[in-house]
Amino acid sequence: MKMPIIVSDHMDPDVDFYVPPGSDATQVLQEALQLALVYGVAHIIIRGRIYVYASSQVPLLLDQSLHYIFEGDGLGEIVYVNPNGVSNVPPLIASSSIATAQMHYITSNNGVVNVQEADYSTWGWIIGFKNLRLVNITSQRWLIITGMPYHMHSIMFYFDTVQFFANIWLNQTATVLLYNCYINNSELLFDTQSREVMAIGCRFENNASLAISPRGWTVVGCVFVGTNVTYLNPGIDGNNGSVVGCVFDGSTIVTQGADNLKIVASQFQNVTFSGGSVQLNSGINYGIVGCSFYGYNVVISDLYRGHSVFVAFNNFDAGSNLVVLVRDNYTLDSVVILGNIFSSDPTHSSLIFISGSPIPGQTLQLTGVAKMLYIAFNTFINASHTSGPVYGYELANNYRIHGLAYINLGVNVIYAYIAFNYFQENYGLKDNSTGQPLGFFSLQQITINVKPVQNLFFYFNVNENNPMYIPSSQTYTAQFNIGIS
Amino acid sequence: MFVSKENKLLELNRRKFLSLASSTLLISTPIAILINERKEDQEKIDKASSRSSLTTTYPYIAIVEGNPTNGYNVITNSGIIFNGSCNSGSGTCGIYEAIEYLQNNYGEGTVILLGEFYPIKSPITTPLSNIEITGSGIIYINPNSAPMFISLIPSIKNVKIRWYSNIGTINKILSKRLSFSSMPYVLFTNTSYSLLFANGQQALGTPSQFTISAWIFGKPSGYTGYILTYGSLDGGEAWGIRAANNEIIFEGTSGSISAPYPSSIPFHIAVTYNNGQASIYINVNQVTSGRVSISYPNVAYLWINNFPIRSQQGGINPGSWYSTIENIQFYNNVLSISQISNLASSIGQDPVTTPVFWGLYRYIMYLGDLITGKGFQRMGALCYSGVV
Repeated sequence: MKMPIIVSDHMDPDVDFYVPPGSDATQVLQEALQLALVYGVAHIIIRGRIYVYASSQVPLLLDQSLHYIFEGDGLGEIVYVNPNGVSNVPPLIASSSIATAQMHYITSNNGVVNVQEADYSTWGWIIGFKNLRLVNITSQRWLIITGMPYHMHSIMFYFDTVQFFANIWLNQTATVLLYNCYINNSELLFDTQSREVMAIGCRFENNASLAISPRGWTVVGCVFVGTNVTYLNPGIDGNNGSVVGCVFDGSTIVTQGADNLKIVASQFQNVTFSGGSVQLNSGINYGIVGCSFYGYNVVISDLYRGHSVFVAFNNFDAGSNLVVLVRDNYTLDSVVILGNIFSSDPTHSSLIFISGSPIPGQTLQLTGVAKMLYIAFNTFINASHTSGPVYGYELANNYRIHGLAYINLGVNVIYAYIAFNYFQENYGLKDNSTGQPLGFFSLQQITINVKPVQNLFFYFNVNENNPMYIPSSQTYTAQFNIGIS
Repeated sequence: MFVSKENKLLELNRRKFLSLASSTLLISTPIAILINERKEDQEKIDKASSRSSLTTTYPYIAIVEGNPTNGYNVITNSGIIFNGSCNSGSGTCGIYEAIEYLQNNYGEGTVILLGEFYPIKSPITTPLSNIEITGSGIIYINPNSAPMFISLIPSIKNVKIRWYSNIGTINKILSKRLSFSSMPYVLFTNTSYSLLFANGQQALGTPSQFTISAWIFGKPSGYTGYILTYGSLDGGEAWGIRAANNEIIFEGTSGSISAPYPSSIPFHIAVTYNNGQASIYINVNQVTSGRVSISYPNVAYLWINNFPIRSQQGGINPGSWYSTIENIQFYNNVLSISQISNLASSIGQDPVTTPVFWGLYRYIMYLGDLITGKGFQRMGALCYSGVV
């Protein structure tokens, strides 16, 4: 006798519950869960493909009486279907929270556990899915929905080698681990008041998305492939997340206000697909370090809460601009662009644009301020050594900042140190709009609100005969440079 | 060599028996020879043996066959050594007699069971290393025979074991998994662990009459000492059985009754409640009674051991390194004294009628209510957790 309970559409002798192919496995799964109380752990093995028919009830309501491990035998498949035409299809899986809700009210007297710890702890409760293909072909958007009352975070999920052809929406999670998963045209949403999501070694493709709002998450070694609607999407409060060692091909990181996002040692390339981008919006303390951008624009916009943007040790190649936009009327404390290489080709320029974005719902004024600007130890080259056009960047309301130089400012800056950079000869690169040769630095007064940089310093740079485009009112200090006087 | 036909004996020659006893043969063939004059039995046994296609480990066999209606025979190469009911002899429908025969004569052997067995006693409670029990039979155990047959499980092949009374989900569980334990398996190792049973908003309903029955292995605590409680931490306590200040207490929403805590453990406790009148019975003896008022909160669960409303360490003190609260039964009526006596007769006694709730914690391993098949909620800091 073995502990796992085998549910199968195959009539093998070791099968505990046989479900004829195509028939409804709801009853069988419920009985399997009931039987699992013999062990306290529901280790349900799914062999072959089983179908669960939608009804008015959630077929699998996971409560805290069991640990749950749903595991495919090799690869099992659960297909959620609605052959009976149920009008309001519930999710396949939901969780209840009776014990955790009660723990919310325990006394602190004679404490053996801090009450908050009891609220926020999984206390080892595990819901695991392994070696499964989850398919939802009902009208219900979400195959799994979970949430806990009182903003508790007491679910520990792991998904190990799960193929998602179904959306899931988990709220108030504690640790969720996605390991070696495959997501196709589906959304994994970790939403309200969630915590601690980790995605490791997963592949998102074909309009798939990983949307995360927890505080504290990490995406490591994952692949986002497909058109530009394959997303990694940290949500409004998806703060304190790290993207490490990932590969993006034609896909997008787009944030809606996630703070403290760190993108580290990741590869962004349009090799198989096109249209990929990095769009970081509205958050603070973005850090992009050690990444490779190949044909990927990096746009960090709507910066309005001070703090810093830190971009260091990356390569921006073959049409990968770095764009930093400060919201009108707001101040960004600093922009640090350090140790990168910006490698342009004709028609595929990789330039720096620091400008502005409008207050949401209003027109662009360019009244924002980037207070402190450090651009140092960067290398700017024309990799092809051939001539051709470079392009600017289109701001809001049809305003445009031109690609006049390797570094283009179109916003108010108080202090700017531009030091230790190498501005290679442009080899005939020209701004496509004005026809002017590519310079090493431009300040563009796109609106009258853009004032000269109050303190502009060039130190220790090497500039190979590239012009500088600044208004006549702009003064600056240049010392210890080669090619900048 | 004989086999019964409604107590009529049928002779078989020794050669046939010896061929039956050959350890390498499938039993289906010789059994067919053995009973070829009895068509209905032959069909039955053919069916049973073809399902199981048994082989035996030992060269010596004893066959135990029968059913409650016709009685049981133990057939050996010394002839029929037992003929009677499950009450007869050792109280094991002849199974123990067959074991004893093989042990005494050969020191080893295979007991083949054919039919349905309802043993009622446990003459042995230790595993046997030299006896194998096989066949197509089904053994229906009860609390008194459970110790013997659970201990024999390592020696049992193919034979099915079920509970004698198919109440709640028991035999549904046992048909899928051999989930037995001769020892208690829910051990509260401290005063903070608890289990709670939720079944809707009010797990046990809102009865005006009820009986609670349980076996307790634990000591009173100086403070709360909750053993069983109905209520919720946000909604409050409807009733509780506590062991504090060397007393056993039954309390309602207001009012309580108490008696000295029993001097020896484990003990059986029954609490009856009839529209405000409560009584506590310890080991069948009524030890106190009085008025207790109960009002039910909107959310009420059955809590076992700690009810952490006044203390996080609010459970009963361990009887040794653990405490147990076993065989918890809740009825929506007032049981008679004879019914209470029945429940107090053994620690694994199963219900006298169908209860609302039954948590056994011994014999049948199942961390939930054996009536509804629902589990206990336990994934919280103070909740009994992990595997069973």
